[in-house]
Amino acid sequence: MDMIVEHVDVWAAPIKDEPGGLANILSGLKNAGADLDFIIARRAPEQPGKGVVFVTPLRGDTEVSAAATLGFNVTSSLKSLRVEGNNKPGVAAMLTEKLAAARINLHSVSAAVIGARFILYIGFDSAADAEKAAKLLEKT
Amino acid sequence: MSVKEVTETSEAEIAVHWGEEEFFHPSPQFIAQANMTDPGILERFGLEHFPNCFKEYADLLTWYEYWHTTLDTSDAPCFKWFVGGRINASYNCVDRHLAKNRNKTAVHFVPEPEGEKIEHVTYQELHVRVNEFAAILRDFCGLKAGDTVTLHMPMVAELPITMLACARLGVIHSQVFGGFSGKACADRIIDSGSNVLVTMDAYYRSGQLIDHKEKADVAVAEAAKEKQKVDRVLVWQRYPGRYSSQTPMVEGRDFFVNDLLKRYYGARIEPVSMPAEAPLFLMYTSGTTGKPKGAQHSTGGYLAYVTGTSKYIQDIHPEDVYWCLADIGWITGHSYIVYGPLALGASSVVYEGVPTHPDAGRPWRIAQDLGVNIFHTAPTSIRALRKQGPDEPRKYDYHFKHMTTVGEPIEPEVWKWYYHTVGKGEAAVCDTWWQTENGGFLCSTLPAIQPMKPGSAGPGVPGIHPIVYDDDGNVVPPGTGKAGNICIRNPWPGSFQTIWRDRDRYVSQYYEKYCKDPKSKRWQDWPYMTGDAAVTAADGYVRILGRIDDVINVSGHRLGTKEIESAAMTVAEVAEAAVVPVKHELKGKEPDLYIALRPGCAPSDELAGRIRDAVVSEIGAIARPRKVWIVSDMPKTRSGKIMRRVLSAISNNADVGDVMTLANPEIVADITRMVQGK
Repeated sequence: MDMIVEHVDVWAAPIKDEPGGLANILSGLKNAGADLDFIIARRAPEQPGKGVVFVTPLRGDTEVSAAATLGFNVTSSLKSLRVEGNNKPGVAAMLTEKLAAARINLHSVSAAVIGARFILYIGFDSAADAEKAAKLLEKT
Repeated sequence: MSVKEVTETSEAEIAVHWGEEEFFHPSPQFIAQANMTDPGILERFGLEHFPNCFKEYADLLTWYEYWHTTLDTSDAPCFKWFVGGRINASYNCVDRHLAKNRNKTAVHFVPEPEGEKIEHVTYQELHVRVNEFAAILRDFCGLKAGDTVTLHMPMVAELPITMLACARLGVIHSQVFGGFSGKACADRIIDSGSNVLVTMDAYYRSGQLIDHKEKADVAVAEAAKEKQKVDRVLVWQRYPGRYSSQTPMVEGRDFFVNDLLKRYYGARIEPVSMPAEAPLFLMYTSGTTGKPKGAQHSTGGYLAYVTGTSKYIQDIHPEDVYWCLADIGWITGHSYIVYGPLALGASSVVYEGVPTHPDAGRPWRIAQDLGVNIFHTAPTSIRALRKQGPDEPRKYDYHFKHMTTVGEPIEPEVWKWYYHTVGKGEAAVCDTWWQTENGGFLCSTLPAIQPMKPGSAGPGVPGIHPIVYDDDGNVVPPGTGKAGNICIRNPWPGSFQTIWRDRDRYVSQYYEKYCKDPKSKRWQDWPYMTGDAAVTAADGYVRILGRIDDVINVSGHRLGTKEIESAAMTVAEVAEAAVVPVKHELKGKEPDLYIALRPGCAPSDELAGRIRDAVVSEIGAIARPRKVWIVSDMPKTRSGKIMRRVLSAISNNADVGDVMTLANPEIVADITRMVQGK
């Protein structure tokens, strides 16, 4: 299967759980010129009144510097892969089965289809797991 | 489209920039105390006094030996300053202040958690800690002058201590921004050839204690894959004596600094007398693409330049409490948190965390508590603070005499909030423009001499002579409203010496385009190309418009490529758009627009027309594409990035180069056939 598998740095920042909490952060990134491929934001149940946003990619010093000012940091808990390929029914199941067979536990998965292509972001618990998964998926 | 049609579209419409603003004048109180009030400085630093004018900056430092040659151009454009001079940066930032200011605070370290006490490191304590850590570097790690060491540290007091310990030995430090990943750190370890990594176990960010040591493990492992062995990892502890990381220490490789320090208690290391042109540090910079490049900065020239600009542009006096909110991992922090302010004997604030944590009042509480009177930050922070706490500054009793902005152009309305609300209408504001490669400010007002103009970076600072060229090397005169490529006509002491281990890239990227004679040894033949687009007003004030790579110059108008692409994307059928410049005899350049459609949509002349109309409607007639090419797919890297370089080569009938690394190399031939008919 023709897929692009690459390691990505996912950046995370805390946000306020209030109207405009996410918009404030994203507009800061926009002003710094960031062109994001991936955004996930959610409430942080363990911290009432707060949430967290994950983004990628940040390119170049200007974007990274601005993002850091806004509270972003490379997530230490997420070793992530970006996987892109031609979509077909069951492809997510097929890929996750492959990882399951290798006994790789997943921290998080996010996937979407745009046109004929799928894009999957997979978070792992360790760099070693991410590396192992990348090798497996590249052979798929 | 006629040429008339082109020139009728205003610069403002196209470049999406603001108009000229009124001047603001510094207060009499500021002028009365300012370091530089003599307008004669501009004449003294005129080109007729170049390069000897920079002696005025070098004389602010303490030298072991004076130089015999102010500027050596024999290896142009690798210019050498103050040749023959010998100096030590650590001595200038620490030792020389002891006689008079031993117990004055050098560094105020402000932890992010407000409950933790602020740490006030006096010059005496700084001296002790720098010496003891230098002993570790020299005697435990075996480092000596000319070696490189990579630092991957957060914003803590131990970072300037580590840098100054390196400088004391003549060891070249390469600090990697603490927020970068272990892989990014590894790339810089490999390029710099470091065998030693200095890091920290953890640090606070937005209320969380983040495990930082784990990045060191990744960095060392990744570097090893490229045969760059890191023998020693020195780990500072956020809480001395307590390990705050979950990542195990590796025996024989990882060492707690606080354990090692016990062995070197009381050690005093004589500062190494270094040649002025010896490298002081590497600062890696990355554009949006490409391998990070290590900007190599000198000892004597750099230190003289940042000291001089700290004194005259930022108006730092030894009795000031100065706070630059940048991260020391960037050049701003090196020049204007560590080396410049400490060379002047000021007190410099190092804040660990995020400016808006836990709320937008935090910076103003710090300013109030420490008596900060000079403040320096980036428009990103200003915008965030304004958005999250527009009235917060009024709640706190602090008074800034001077404020700086840096990093990107600041919108006039944001500038005015900064001036009126943060500065309470009392502070002189310097809107500065410069880059990692430059060491220090290039454009800014002299705060007590030249008035402020919101949205403008001001003219060149003393000794810096900007000039704007068009793509053909013709000078774009000030006051015409036309933009071009801003260059600096002359070298200056703070500029980087070269790209570490890559002189060819240094020459080709920064000097080749406007060099009049590649064999020339005259500095006049080597204008420095900044890579930024700018327009100069009749009064000499410069407005920066952005990176050259992001704009296309059509009849002197700067078209933002992203703006054209965004306009094309407003057409529902368009999935992807890419704009590239095509040479045009009259206009200089015009845009070619490449389009990939959404699945199920068919190309047609009618659709191409609608896309063209959308661009004209959104931006203006000047932006009308020469041609809209609807292609089946864009040439892309394996990570999905559109290769505009390839499209540009096709549009200009140039060599597309090696395309085999693309994810879809076959598409190049298809597009070439469509565009070139072959």
